[in-house]
Amino acid sequence: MAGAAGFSPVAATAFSAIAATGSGQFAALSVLQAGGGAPAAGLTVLALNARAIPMGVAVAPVLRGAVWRRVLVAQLVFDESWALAQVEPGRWDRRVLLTTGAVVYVSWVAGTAFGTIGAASLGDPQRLGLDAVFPAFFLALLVPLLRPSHAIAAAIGGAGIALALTPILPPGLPIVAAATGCLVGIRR
Amino acid sequence: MTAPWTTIVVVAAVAILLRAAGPALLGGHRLAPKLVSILGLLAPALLAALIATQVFSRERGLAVDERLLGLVVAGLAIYARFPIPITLALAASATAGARLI
Repeated sequence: MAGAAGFSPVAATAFSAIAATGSGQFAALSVLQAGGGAPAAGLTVLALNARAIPMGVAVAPVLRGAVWRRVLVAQLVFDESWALAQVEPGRWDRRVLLTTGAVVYVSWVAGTAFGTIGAASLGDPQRLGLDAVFPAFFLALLVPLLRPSHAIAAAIGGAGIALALTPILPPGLPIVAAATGCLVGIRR
Repeated sequence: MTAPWTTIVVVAAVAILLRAAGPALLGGHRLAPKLVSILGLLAPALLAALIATQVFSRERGLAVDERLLGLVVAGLAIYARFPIPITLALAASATAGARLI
């Protein structure tokens, strides 16, 4: 998938190793593929990953030590490790958080390396239907988030805004503008 | 395509700073519930926007084509609780198959 946006296997693996944000990386690649630039990709990830702020505040009590240590350990707080380490509502286990975080990180980076090397030997991405993989992946991430009804409103709002602005704005910006779709849900 | 490495650096900086923000700056504080719910709604709004533009945008306009079939198949696979790799493979096969016809 990364290859379609002009990323070599080395660049894609470095992307996973440094940024380590699965959904954010796919979103950034989507923006680039649509013709957007690095600033639009950065803004999209800023909005998409904003959920990391309340997640970080929630786990802050179990992260101890100097600021640099807390910041370092906080890099292992992913959606998966955050969810698994919540042993009871509002309470997190430090060991579980670090172990699952490390497992998630290593498998994500290794998976990217193998995936991009394997994909380089494949043929035309369009003929294989690989352009359907991105939206399918985003849908798989979206569905579990749709529990509260205002999340559904936000999703519909975001999709509607992005589609309405696609013919008007330069590539990449409709997705950034769709972030305001979350305000649709606030009214309820 | 614009420089991959610029994007890598920008996106990595954003992701790292967001993960660091809670424990480094806001430890012991509480965020206003309203702010938390707004931040929580950003992800569904953006994911839906990404899906919509990936499926329906072509060049600078909108179009309905084989990609929609892939999305529908993905939706069914997710509903049936298939694992993500199988869901992605089914979506790709559906779109590729429809293109052959």
